[in-house]
Amino acid sequence: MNPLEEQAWNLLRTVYDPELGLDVVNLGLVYELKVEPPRAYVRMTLTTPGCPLHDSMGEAVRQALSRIPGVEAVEVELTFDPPWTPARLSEEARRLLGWI
Amino acid sequence: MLATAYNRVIPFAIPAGFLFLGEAFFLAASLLFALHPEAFAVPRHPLGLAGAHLFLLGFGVGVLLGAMHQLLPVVLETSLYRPEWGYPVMVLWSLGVVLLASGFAWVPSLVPWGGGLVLVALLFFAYHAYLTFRQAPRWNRVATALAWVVFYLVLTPFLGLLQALSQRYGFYDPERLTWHLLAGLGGVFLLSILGVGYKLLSMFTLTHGVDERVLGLLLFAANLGFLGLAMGERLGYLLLLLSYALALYDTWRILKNRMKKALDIGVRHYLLGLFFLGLALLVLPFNPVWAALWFALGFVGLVVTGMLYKILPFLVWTHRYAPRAGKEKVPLLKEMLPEGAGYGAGALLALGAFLFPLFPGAGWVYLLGVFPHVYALWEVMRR
Repeated sequence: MNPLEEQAWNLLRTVYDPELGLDVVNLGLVYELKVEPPRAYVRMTLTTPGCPLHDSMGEAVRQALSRIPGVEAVEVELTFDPPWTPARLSEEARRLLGWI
Repeated sequence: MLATAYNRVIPFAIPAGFLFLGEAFFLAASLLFALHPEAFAVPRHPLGLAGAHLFLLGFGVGVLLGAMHQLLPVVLETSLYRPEWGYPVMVLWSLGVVLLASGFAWVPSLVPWGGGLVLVALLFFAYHAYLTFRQAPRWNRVATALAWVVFYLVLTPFLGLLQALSQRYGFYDPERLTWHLLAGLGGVFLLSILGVGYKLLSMFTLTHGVDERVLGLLLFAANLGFLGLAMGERLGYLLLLLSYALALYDTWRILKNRMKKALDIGVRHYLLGLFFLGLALLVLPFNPVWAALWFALGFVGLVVTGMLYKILPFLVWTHRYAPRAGKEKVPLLKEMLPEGAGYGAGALLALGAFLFPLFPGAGWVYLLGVFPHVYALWEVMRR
């Protein structure tokens, strides 16, 4: 992982699902991340198709990655293929959700 | 798909307008429960009818319409056909409720006017919902539940208006009041709460993998049950009991498969509401007035107030904080609600609802519960 991608993952950890109180990385919503200045690309999903946070989460991710030096355009692709499953939750997420 | 900013966000004033008007009707109805409890101990008391319409059509349907403007895009995975059509619906519906309640309480000639306005409002909403349904890329059973709710949202005022006009023009049939009640209490509230509850409960508890077949069977049994009861068949009652059992089973499956262990305030209100629904169904054959009170004040009252603790923070967050998310720290939905006030309100509303049929003075307890509830929502707006 190059330093910019590491920075990108850290920035994505600041984007929270406001209902669950968990960030998009620990929720396992991010499928793919590429940072090649001046562009960045994220392929991500949401926990439910048609989630009411659809637009807000995509935009929040775009805003977060726009903070990487040299990145001028961020493309966020929202997909439900494959759909999200609870298996994508990190250990940390499971702990915060009260199961560990 | 490229995410664009807020391309599915509904103007805040539409759902919020319905919710706030609904809250005003909630307060007015609860004042009537406290000041004139005798009006709710017998069927068809003028103030009882005014209170029932303020509570069910004003509060219940108001919140339902506000929530459906937000929920239809979620369930159908598409945008509303024309979000701004919500404004005329809101004006016609709210004016209709005021005229209806005033008509029942003081000026009977206003009743058909109020009913007419409500019918036009809900027909317009139904047309909007139909055009939105047609855009849906795929169908699911929650969408079926919503389609049934829209159908009953039109049928209920139609039957009510027919009843009002028939009294004036001499073709009155008391049976139609039962149909009006069944369409409203059963078709609108039972189906919307149990149907939409499936989706909301799954979302709030982060539950995946519970299939929708039980919901499909529940909708089938409930609709046949309404038809049976409308025709005076005992089987109708048994079918409603079956649909309640299916709702309990579905709720159990959702909770069993949940990924979020702690049950939040909305889910707890929903579960308490289900308890009142069971109580109402059990006493229905013996004391329909008690059943109606436990259904309305307990089941509808608790589920709707509980859902508001989830819906309003989401609406405010989307419009106030979503544009800042990703740039700075923004609050979580949970942090926007004073939960203590919400739980306090829930306890008072539940106690008031439970005691009201037995001790009319409990209307004051119910009214007392409205204030922390309104305070909690006010804080959500402020935070």
